[in-house]
Amino acid sequence: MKGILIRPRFDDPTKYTFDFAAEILAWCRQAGISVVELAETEAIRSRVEEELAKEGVDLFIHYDHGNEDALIGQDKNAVIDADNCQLLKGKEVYTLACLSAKNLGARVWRIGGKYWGYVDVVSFTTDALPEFRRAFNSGFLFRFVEGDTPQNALSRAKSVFDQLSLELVDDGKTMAALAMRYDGDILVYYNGHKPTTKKKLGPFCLLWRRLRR
Amino acid sequence: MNQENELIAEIKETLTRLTASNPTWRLMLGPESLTAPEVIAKLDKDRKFREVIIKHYFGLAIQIEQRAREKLP
Repeated sequence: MKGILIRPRFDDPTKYTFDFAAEILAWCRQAGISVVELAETEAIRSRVEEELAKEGVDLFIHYDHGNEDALIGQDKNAVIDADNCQLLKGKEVYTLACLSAKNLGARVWRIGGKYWGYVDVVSFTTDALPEFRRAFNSGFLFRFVEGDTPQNALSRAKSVFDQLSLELVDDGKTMAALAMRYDGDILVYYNGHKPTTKKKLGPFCLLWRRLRR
Repeated sequence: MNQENELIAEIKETLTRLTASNPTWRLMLGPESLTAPEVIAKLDKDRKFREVIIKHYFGLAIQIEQRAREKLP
């Protein structure tokens, strides 16, 4: 298996997620996954496109910022968006980026890719960094190191988030526990399951629903 | 609504205590890096954030209760 790992570092959150991604890099090397690391100044669109254009890349890992339509690089510009996401056709994406599963992930899934990501804003607290690293990276461990199925990897990872949130309550770290539970809730894995699209309701439907309450 | 306000007041108190015990504490929320006083302010200003906190607080409480029930003989 061959992969690319993108990890910019330019603000407080990326300072931490850069370190979270170090564990992924170590696991790749242990598991015999050949990985090209694009870190900091290398984590830009031109380098990402250059590496993705090469033969045999199966896995695309990105830690950290994103939005509904893009994954963000070191220069705060998109490294992947609607214009170049066809480069991810048939590949597996594993990202910690906020929101990106919402539109970009669904788009990648439609062109035959798999997408591990989050449909809302990801959060974590500095009093529980080892726990958050464990939760965020757990899916990678289950799926790519242990070789579990997408469905099982997702279900096991969600259990890790749940379990850790309860342990954080026991440790008196309430905000960390809430963030952990929320992150587990917004985690998705297309093709462990299909993207769910919320049907847009018209004004009369919305009014009807409100009146029925 | 009153219950929600009481809950938010409790969370704010926890965050105030956190400011004293761990002044370097931060919540990373997407691109934001928030101190405990900034989280307290966000609980007042940002309705979606407040709703998420309340939803998961209740969710956690239910899980804790279930876990306690399972442990009962």
